[in-house]
Amino acid sequence: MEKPVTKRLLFDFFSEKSTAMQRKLIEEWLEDAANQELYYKYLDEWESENPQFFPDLDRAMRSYQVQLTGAAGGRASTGVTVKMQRIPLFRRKIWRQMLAAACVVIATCFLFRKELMYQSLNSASGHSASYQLSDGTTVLLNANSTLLVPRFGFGSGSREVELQGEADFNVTHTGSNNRFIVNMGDHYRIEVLGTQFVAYSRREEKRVFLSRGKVKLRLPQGKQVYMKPGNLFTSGSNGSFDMSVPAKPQKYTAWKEQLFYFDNSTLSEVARQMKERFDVDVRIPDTVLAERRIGGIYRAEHPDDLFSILSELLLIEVIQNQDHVELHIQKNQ
Amino acid sequence: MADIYLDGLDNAQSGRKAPRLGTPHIETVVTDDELLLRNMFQEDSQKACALLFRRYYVNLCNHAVRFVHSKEIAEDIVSEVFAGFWQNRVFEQITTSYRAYLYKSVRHRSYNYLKWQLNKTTSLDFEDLTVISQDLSPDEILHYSELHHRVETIIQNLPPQCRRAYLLKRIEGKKYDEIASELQISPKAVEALVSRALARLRNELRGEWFLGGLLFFYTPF
Repeated sequence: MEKPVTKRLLFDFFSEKSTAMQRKLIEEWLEDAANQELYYKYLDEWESENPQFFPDLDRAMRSYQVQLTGAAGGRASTGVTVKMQRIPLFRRKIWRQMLAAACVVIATCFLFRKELMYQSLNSASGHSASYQLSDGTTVLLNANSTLLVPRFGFGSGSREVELQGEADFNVTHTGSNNRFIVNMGDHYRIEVLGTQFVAYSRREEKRVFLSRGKVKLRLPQGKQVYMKPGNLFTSGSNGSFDMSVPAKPQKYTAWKEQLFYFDNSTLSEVARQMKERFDVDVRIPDTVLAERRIGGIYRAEHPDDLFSILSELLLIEVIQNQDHVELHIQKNQ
Repeated sequence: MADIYLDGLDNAQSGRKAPRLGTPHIETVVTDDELLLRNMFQEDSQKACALLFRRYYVNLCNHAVRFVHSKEIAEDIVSEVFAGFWQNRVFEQITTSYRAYLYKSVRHRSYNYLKWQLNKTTSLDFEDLTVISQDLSPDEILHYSELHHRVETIIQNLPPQCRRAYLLKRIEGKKYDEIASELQISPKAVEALVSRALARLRNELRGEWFLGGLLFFYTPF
């Protein structure tokens, strides 16, 4: 049986004049979806009768009108499709051929959609490159990295890019609150509205370090996690991951200033980082030497900068070969 | 054209509500007072949006201001909801009435704003903008109203000077030195009064964030 919840009872509730029992009554009454509709109808009537201030409707209306007529507005309206159906019958054959041709074009476009729709921003090895995207977002690409961005600017929906390598994003918050999405491959993706973070996306590891704001990470198997400023996300093998607050966040942002940050890193780790940034193949045949550790922050714009630092610090010999560089312990020691 | 529809909408409402004012009545059927609007969305969604805006903007602002206590922010919230409504073509997707959608969205955003404003720990960024079908339990629906009651009570119970400073700052959007000369105290003292009011709100609303668990359902840290 329907409970007798009246407009008066609801109005009393809106004005904080109802008892706990009346509240219970309303709560039960709201179980019915139709009554929920009624609830908002009465809420609206109650608001009409209890105004608190009088916003300037005309001014607000004018700015909404601008949005409505602006290009940002939705897709083709239904009126267009109605007109399409009025094509005379005798032209249907031509129309069909045109449709077939259009299908071929669409299929071709679909096959090459990535090349067509996206342009790639690159950075040369050893150099970072900075770009500003059409929405105002700035991206600093670390060396050896590629960012795919929509060729024709971002649409009215979410802003999607694809990252291979490492980049620092300073995402601007758009007025219409469109999400900014970074696809990192292997079903990892970052979703944000406006914030700053460093994303590292290479086959062996995905990493995200958040400087400010908040981001949502989508992980393989449909999992998702939220990150807070200062958090470092690191993917592990077989879908596991680690979320930590690094004590020395500079390690993850050092590359932006052409710096190398070594925190008790092995020489083989140094070699790996050099491969990443300068694309030089550094080999350390001596396993003992490969396990030597080094710490500190070093500026290096060229591989040679770092090699000269290393050779001084660790007393090693740098031998340049045709396609790779070898590190050896100095013979005369 | 728009005005005719607007009149039709309002007449439909007032026509039904007039006879039963004050008399207990069992409401079983919801008659569809948005039929005209819905037809209009099929024909000319732009015009229909404008009409909806004209019809609900003021009331929605008045509703939002109960939560956020700032005319400017209330207007921003309502404008954003309408912007999303048009840009994401929400009107094609909703299953409830336009009115229910608008009220739910404005309440949701106001709630998030209030929570963010008091705690600053959660980010506004993650507020989902186009909650197409927000299924709220009856308890949650009522809780929204109770939240703005609670806010009102807390403000009413503030010491008079503290309340005045808070209202001038938030509702009127005045600057600290303007309020200072009005209350004849130093700007520093005004600042202290306003932050005391905010602290009171923060403490007393601590148990009120009823949607918390829904918004961030997976946070392992």
